[in-house]
Amino acid sequence: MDFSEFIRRLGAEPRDQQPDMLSARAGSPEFDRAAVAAEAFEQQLEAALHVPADGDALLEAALQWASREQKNVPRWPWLAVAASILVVVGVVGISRQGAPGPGGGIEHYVRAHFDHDGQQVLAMASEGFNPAELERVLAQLDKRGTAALAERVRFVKFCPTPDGKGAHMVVESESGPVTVIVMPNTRVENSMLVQFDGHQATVFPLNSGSAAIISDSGQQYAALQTLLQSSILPRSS
Amino acid sequence: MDKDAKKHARFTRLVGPYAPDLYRFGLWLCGHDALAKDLVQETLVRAWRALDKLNDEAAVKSWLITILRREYARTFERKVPPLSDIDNVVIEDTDELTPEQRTERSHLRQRIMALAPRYREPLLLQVVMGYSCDEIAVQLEISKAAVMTQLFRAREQLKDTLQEDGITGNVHGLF
Repeated sequence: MDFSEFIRRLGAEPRDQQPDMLSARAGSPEFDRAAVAAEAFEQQLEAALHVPADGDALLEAALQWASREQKNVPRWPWLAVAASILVVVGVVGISRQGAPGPGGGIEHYVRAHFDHDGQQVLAMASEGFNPAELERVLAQLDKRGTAALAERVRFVKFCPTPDGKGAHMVVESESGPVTVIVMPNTRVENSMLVQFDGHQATVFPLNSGSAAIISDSGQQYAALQTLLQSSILPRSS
Repeated sequence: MDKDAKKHARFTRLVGPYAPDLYRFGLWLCGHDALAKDLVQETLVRAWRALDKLNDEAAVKSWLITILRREYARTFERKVPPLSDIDNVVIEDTDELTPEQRTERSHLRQRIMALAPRYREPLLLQVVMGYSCDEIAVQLEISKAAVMTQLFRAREQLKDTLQEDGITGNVHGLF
């Protein structure tokens, strides 16, 4: 076997133990040096790819889902499951029979939810986001969105809310992407402002349910609020 | 032991050992921690649902990877953000590294993520999941010769770009 062939096979399988490879290596110092160098690089590659992973947590989350499915409880993405545990712990006492008490429950929920994965979800926003995904998510909330909204959405996923499943979106505003939480089963009578940790959330009523726009600036998002109110509609309308 | 407990035990026994590598494989596919966890979660959920149909327990690894790759192609691939957050995911390596070694490893990770998927995926199947070239060929539904070419090119690209970056050490001077 010539050196070029030896290198190509090493590049594909650095630990190739086939007899002809071992023989080639044993018969030539040059081949042996190449094999040693290939092994050194392979160890670097393995170390680089071996990131920390909590297999037990992943398995446990899946088994928790299995238990919930057997009880006909809907499954939410991994982060939403973790968020739901956090939110449930953080919003004890929220009324589930109508609009939450002034500020308290909603404020706590919005803050806890954004603290959990707000920045991560913002980072997942993309210009190439598929608008069909918005329709899929809203449909499962018994809602639909207009084209005007779809062209501004950069990411959407399900999320837990105080009163059931909602949507967590990243929407392009006048001053960049902002977080929008849609709470289809949570009523608020009037708009309210929630300030926390350098962020600001505007919570306002929708056609049915409510939504929150969360940003880290002191800006008001009146135009975006109007768009959301006119663009997230009951599925039957 | 009732039926549910038996299924639970079988699932844990068969699938549990592969969960960490499934996450690593998913992470290097997606380049994003949250997406990778959702991808693995979806994979494990589907594996749970189909567990009773798994007759050949020796094939569980390839079965899981098949589920993950299909789910990635079906749902998650279009959600991959334009920029990966690999640097944010890798918090701390457990082995002791000098600052230069940390820099080398960081560069290598970035370059791995920058590989085209047709080179990155077979490399991940080989290095992360421990697949042979024959197994990769079956999983990707291509010839073994094509797999070997892609693996060779993947490693060559990594070495070339690291040398362009001026990374020295074990990589410098190879071939």
